[in-house]
Amino acid sequence: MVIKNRVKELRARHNLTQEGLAERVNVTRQTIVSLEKGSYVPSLMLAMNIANTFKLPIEEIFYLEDEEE
Amino acid sequence: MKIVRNGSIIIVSLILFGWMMSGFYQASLDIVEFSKDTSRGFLFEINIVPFLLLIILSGMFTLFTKRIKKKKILWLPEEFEESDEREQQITARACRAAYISMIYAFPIITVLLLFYPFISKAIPYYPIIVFILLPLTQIMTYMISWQKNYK
Repeated sequence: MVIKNRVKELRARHNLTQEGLAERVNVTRQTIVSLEKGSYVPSLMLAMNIANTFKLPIEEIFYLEDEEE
Repeated sequence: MKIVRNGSIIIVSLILFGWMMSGFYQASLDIVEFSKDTSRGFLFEINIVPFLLLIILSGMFTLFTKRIKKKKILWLPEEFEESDEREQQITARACRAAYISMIYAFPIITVLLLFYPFISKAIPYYPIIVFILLPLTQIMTYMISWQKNYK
């Protein structure tokens, strides 16, 4: 199982740049890049901050998916 | 990339430090000779080129990093990039890798010291060179791990 996210889609919907979102959740832009690529799984704190920014519950942004073969 | 720049500066500084210490070692050999036989003149030579280069390099590096990173804690190495949780994780992994490299490098370096009696005449400062291999291995491992995990 892997953790996937909808950060890229939600960011576009909220008209936020990677830099803008990074500033709001207090991380570097590179972390947002890695998050969107799926190469980084955020901490619960960062996930909650992102959920707060998009005003959505965490499970609507981050979800489990079976690993592709 | 900052980590490559900072790491390279540390590696060059270490090499210069080793070079400087080798010079000092030669000088201390001369001083020991004098203490054994005080009838001869108190004369020794020191190569100050690496010392001067090291001072210039460290000065420039300190000024440069102070200018761009004012909020950074002074006593932490410059290679530590920990501005957010992901960078902290990458740094933690790199430190782990550096520790593992120490475990493997240490016995090899100790074995290398066994060759000292064979070459002590030709390279009297051989232990200094060998000893500097340990931090060099660790710093290079740290940099490689950081680079690998940052992508």
